[in-house]
Amino acid sequence: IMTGKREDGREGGELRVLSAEQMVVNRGDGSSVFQFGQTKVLACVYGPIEVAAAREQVDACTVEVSYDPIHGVAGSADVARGAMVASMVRSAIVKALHPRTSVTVLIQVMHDDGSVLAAAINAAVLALLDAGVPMGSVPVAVAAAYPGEASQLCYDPLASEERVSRAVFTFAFDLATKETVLSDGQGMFQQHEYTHALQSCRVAAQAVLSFQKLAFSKGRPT
Amino acid sequence: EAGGVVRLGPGVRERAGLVEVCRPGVLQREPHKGRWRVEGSQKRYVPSTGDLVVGTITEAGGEQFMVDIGAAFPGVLPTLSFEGATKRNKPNLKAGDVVYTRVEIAHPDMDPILTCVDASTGKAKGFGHLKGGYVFSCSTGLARQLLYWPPAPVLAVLGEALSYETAVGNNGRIWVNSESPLETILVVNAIQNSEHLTEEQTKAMVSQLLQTIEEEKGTNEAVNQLMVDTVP
Repeated sequence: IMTGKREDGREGGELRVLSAEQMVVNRGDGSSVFQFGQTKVLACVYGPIEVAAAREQVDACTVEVSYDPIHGVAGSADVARGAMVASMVRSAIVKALHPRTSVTVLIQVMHDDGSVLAAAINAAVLALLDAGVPMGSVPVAVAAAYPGEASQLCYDPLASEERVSRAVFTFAFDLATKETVLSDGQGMFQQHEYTHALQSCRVAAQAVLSFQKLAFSKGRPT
Repeated sequence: EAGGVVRLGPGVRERAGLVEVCRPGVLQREPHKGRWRVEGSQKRYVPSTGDLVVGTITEAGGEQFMVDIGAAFPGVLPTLSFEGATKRNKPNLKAGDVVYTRVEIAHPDMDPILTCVDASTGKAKGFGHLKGGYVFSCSTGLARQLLYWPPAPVLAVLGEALSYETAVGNNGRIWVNSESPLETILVVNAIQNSEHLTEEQTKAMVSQLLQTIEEEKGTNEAVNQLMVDTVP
């Protein structure tokens, strides 16, 4: 892990301030905002509701995810991120419990200062929990990067750090079973560097999961 | 129980021989060694057998009524599932009418089946047509709180000051009726405000609302008097 101070004064192994809030939107059956520092993503969930016959599945719920950037139309990078969130959300939701219905997750990036895919995943998961959609696991996402030519990892990169990094990773984990449910690596890296990033992020994800539990249960009856 | 049967309700499922929770909330067991379930609070209602629901009839067919209960699928209420109903004597309900019913069968693969008779006695027991009044939505958690006995603080405090009637559905729909629209709106607002308040806060909130209604009544009387005086 990187030693020395980063641009914003953090250590290499330090995450930014985490922030989350549910039930933030009037519409929708569940919603959540999640932040890594200034990176802020809103997720809104509708469902389980009736679905058009063309998209109906007799034995499962139809899960649809849309991903919108801050402004403009979704470009290829946004579509790719949306697809990754979609495949992860589809495996986390217990689709067999609600056949012939649909669950729609709308993801809106509100501010992108790095680690936006990880923030989008965490926001989507919290929004699904807020809506009470049945889930088989609670995935937690964290990003990491190898800045410049350095061989030392830093967690939760800023946008400025991502721009000069030779490799940026986003991982999501089901910490109950210790499985990796999403792995995205962009750039150039060796296999041992990938393994190191994966294992380090799994450790960092524990902190994010503890935060998610705290953020979700605040204000709810126990 | 050793070697016993575990019955799973909403929010709990079986996977690979283990019982797993699949939604956030409080793990509870229904009374009389009933099903295990996880109770959270959601906006979207998922029907479960035994729930009491407030619904609005959307279609009145010959054999059944289709009822909107706020779930993914409409509920099916057979025309014979009413006290004293026969093939020649069917209930006189039409689209738009509000009914208080019980979910007789809820299964993921079919539309929920509703009934307006109590299973054991065949009597209406409070189910059936709700005339007049006003229906509003709330979270399933608040609806559950309002269905407990002894009554929730907000209902008890309102009952001391006003006379009103209410039907609460597990589906997050509440029907309220009282002597005037003003009082109905007050009851609706009080219930909506009460979700996260303590008992003392609820009492303070209700008395504040009651005060505004007194002022409103005073204003109305003044306006009425003015009209009586000015109209020749």
